[in-house]
Amino acid sequence: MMRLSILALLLSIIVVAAEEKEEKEPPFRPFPEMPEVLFFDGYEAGGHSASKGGVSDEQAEAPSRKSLKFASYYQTGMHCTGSFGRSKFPENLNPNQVFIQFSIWSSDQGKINVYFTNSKAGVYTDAHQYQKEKKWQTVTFKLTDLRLNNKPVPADTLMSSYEIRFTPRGGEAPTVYMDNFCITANSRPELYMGKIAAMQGKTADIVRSGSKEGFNYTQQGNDALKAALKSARGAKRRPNTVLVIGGKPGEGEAVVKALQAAGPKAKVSGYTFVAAVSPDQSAVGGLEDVRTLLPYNLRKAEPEFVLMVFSNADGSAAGRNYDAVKASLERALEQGIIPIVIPPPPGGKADSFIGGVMRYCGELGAPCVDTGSVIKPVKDSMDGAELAAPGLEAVCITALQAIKHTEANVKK
Amino acid sequence: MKWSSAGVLLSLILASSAFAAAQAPKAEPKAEFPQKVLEEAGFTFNGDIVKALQGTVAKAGKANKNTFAVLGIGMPNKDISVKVPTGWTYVGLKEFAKELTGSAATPRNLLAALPEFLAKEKPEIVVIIPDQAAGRKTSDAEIFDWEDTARLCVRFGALPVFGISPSFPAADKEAKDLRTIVSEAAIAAQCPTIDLKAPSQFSKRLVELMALLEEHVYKRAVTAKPVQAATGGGEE
Repeated sequence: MMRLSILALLLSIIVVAAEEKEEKEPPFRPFPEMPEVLFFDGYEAGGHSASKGGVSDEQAEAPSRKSLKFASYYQTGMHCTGSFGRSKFPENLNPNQVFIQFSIWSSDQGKINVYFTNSKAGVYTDAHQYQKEKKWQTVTFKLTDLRLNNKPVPADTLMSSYEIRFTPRGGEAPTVYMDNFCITANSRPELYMGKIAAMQGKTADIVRSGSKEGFNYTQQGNDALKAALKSARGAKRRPNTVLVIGGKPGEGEAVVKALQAAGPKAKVSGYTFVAAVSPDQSAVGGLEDVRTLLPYNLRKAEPEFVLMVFSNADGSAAGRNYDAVKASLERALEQGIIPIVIPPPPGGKADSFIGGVMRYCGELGAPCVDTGSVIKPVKDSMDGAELAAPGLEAVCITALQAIKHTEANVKK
Repeated sequence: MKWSSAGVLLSLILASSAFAAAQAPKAEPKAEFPQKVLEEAGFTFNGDIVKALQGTVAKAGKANKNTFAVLGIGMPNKDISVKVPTGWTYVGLKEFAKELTGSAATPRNLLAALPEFLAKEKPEIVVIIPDQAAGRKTSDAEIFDWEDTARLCVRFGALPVFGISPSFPAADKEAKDLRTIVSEAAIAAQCPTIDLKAPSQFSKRLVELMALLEEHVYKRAVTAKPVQAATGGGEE
């Protein structure tokens, strides 16, 4: 009986210690050196938070190089939507001390409606006026200004997504841009904008853009990858090994050969490519096998990277399949394995899938090849809706460059 | 005048009769497949499940006929006894037991460990028992871990069945509880479920479900009938 009591006491100490350890894990911050900044998006590279609206460099006077161009919403209305990703707030911070700020430009005066969603409680809203017309205006407010049924945001909740709508004064749909969306705690966002801009300047050599270099890579993504590798420290990995899952069953070997052949052109060497397999010897490839056989193959191959290729058929299937891709990216990252994603060529129903995959890659830091941009200048790149050999070669060259770039930056 | 009044009256009577006939309950067409819901039968089974599984598992024909396995983080469990029905064989977990049961057998870990077991033992039905106690934190992505575990079984020709834990508050206030997560994953993957609120009923419900799967998914003579022999877990 005495032994049992001692055992129970020891167990409770272990449980309490484990709980304390769990609680001590610091919350995600986009800039770890600025813990007051809860969320920031300057819409500079592919890894941005928006799901509706597109990154644009049309606005020369924007606070930063690129800004977010609103999409049509309803009649003459314009809007953008997005996710806060790993940024969690207020998460028991005082909502009255959480500040929200963004810069907005419109070709017409109008009303700005801000919507923040909590997945359980619903949508909190606030409204502002845009009066400058064709000039950048900074909008700043507190989290407590957002209301749901006239009640402010409680401290013990989490905001998951945002929508910002612009209703013009006139009868025509305006052009609307947004930039430097920043959320801070305990001090106002403008105190951090200069420091963030300086940091972004310093990290310009890390950032890669799909439209220029063929793949998306951001400073925030680089930090996220470093954090993932750190938390999985000690996991057994075979150096320079890349697991490859092809876009269709049985395509893995063909992608491995294309990667090997692309090495000299990409000026990348020293990697070993391993095609994913199934223990029943059946052909492996495509989203369904990424969902079901990735963890088995990660364990078997112990790679440092996993290259996931998706086909147009994957992208065109019904439903939000990109959510399943996010789960697979997390499974790899949890083990300290860096996923490199090749989405399908754009076109038809695949476009929504591509957008979702690129957004999640941006959130989690997974480098993502911009297949559409890469194959655009390539002759005979497509065979129907899927990549032909020249197209596959082009994306493999870019994927190798993405692997090399990632390795160089996460191991710094 | 009298005749016209009588005509109006007759018209009203006829109209009300027609209305009543339209409102009368029609004989419902007989359902193609039995419908079982968790709250009444203690397990789920319906036409959608049958059609989904007929097109995948039964068509693949990869599995060993009349074999089943029970595994997951909630096994072994003294409250859940697994009785082997007549005509069926219980597939032991053998060298896979350490990874397919107990605390190691989270759905995410099952995704890594199950393929070899499924490829080697080829069970026809795989019952996955989730956590049976409160405390573990769930995450947004967990629904995909459960759904993909079911899809993994289907890929290897096994028919997945999820145990549905009793509802207990999620450790994280913002997170869904496990009962909701597993139920939603089962709907997404179109796989049957068995309620574990009354674990003593587990074997009885499993046998009923097996009989329905034999009849409607595999379209063969039903062999699943309850017997006394017990394997795993505790006694009922």
